[in-house]
Amino acid sequence: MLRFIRKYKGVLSLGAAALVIGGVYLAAWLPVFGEGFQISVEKEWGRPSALGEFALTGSVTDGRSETVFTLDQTGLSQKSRAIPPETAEEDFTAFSQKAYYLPGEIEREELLAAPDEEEYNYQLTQRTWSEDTQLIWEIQRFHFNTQSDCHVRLNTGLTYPGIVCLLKTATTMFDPAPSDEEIREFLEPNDFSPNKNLLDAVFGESTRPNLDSIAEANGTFYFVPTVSQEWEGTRYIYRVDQGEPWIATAFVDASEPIGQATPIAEVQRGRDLDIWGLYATLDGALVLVGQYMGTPIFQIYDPETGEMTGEVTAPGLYLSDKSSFLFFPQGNGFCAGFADWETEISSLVAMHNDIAWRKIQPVRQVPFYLEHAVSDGENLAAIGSKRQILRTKDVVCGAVWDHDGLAYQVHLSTPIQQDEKYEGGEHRYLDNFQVKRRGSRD
Amino acid sequence: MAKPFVSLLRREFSGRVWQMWGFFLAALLFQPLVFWFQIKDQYQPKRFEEVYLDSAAPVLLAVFFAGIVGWMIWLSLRDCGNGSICTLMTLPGGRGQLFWSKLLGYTGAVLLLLAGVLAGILLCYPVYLSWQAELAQRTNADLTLNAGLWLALNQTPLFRLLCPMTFQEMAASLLLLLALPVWACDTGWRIAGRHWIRGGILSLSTAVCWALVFRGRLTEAWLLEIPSLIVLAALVILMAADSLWLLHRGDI
Repeated sequence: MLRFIRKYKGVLSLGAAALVIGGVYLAAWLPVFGEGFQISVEKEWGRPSALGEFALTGSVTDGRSETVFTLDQTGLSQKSRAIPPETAEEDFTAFSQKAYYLPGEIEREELLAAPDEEEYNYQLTQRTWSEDTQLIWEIQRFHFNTQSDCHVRLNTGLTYPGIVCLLKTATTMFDPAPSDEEIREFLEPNDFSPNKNLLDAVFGESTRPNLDSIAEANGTFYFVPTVSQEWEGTRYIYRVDQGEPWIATAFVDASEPIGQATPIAEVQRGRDLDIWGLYATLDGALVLVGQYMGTPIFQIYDPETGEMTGEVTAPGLYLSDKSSFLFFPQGNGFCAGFADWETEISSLVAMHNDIAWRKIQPVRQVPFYLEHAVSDGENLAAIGSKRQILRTKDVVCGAVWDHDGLAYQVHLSTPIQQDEKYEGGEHRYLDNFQVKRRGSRD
Repeated sequence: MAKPFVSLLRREFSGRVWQMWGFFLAALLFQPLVFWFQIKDQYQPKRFEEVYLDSAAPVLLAVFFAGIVGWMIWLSLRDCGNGSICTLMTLPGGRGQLFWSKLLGYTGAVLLLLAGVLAGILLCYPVYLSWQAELAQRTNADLTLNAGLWLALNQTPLFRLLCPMTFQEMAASLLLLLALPVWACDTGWRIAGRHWIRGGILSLSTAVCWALVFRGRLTEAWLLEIPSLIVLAALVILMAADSLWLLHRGDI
């Protein structure tokens, strides 16, 4: 034996080196040394087979590596990987909307020049009491590449019937004190700040969740002014035909239109409707979200013809303070709901279009903060989290409803508990929640 | 394989294999030791790779690899100093086989060291796990950030350099590794032949290029800088050709 080793010590050494290198790979890869952030089923109610063709997925990550988990009717599976560093610049696009107010019939005007603490500085104020105030609506699409910026502004033709006070202020240097003419001249641009009534009549009361009012369908942008019942005039959904780059139009007076937008559909129910927002499904239908007689309502429009193809109310869609509105488009339908971050309770509804638009199930109350939901036309599946309530644990929640109600509910959790008193911050977090459907393009 | 070549290989590798095992054992044992020294007084949760990088282990790796390169240069110089190179050049089968046998022998030595380094890293991990369990017991809460050894290897540039995860990375790491024996062999013979200028330029430029590629991979292990890798490969080939040319001229 010793003779054999002595004779073949070179080959044996090389073999040993190869074995060690291979062994290290194998040992590192084997779960014996841990395999990412493990996640396990903590509690289950109902039948896992109710998941059917749905799969609940998400990941536990520390920003550098992640464990992606998938729960389907066959059970829980997970896979870990290192997150490669970002190599490309993120294609960041953001939308914003803004309302401007032009005075209609001016009832009264007040001009004021109050000396500031600093010498020769004056706080100029122009208060205008206006009746039939006009609403100017502006949308912007920001893109990191400014060439693709899109800036559109138009007069909606909507007017606010009551008398409201519009305010313009500025601070500037004058010597001696400015005359009324000088104040008027200095405050010439139409950039009035509205009073609270007017602001609420456009963007809703401050407790209302913010909804998107710009939707992209088949590569075209559409928008709707989100106005309450208080405005007079016909409400339209507009199509953006031509936008201007923001850099060229940033300082254009609010009374001047920018770009080109065409009204494509008249919003049905007109003044009886509070318009909250506009979304689009994956097959290009526009979904106007609003409130009719105190009940959330979804109106679906065909952007080609401008016709309303469906209208579904969702009584019981729970709207609470500090909620966020969530919209999950699908090919022939959508799921939508409100989720409350503090109470971690959500409400969810799913719409489907087969022969006509219909609500596939009654509004479901969801006992977690909703992250994603999908329906298959009959059943509804949702995934979310409970992070505020169960602070010391990251808990993923999933639920499936069939016609009879809740068919399956699951709590997944990471086994590593976090100390509530620990001030080092979150090291792991849950991310990328999704309900997937096998063979679906959603 | 020709018999003289096998004999040469035996001389270059098998004859010195115990010294190579010395490097292996040093890398295997010293790493967990310095890792333990680093971790024993730690009371804050830390990732395995963070503790490893904070310890003296990376410096040890640099010392080991520098040591093995120095040892290879010394072996080449010794062959010239005691005149055995003259005998070896008269062996049947061509002088080129002297270079190839040295290259294979030295590559084997580097691979053995790499195996020791990887095994040492693997040994550090149970040390980390026991520290982690102790910390969890002490704080009564598991605050650890352990995502497993596989992910630790995956997401740390140094580990990824030693334990590459893709074919391209493996090729780049092998090139960096192979450059060491070629460089040591050629530089040794150039020093022995006192070719300070010509040999110095080639050795220095290869060393600089190697350092740049190494630094790049250590910063972003995922991003391979193909042009610098091509330049390094060209320089390594040039050094190998230079060694063969020196042998053919007998200018050592």
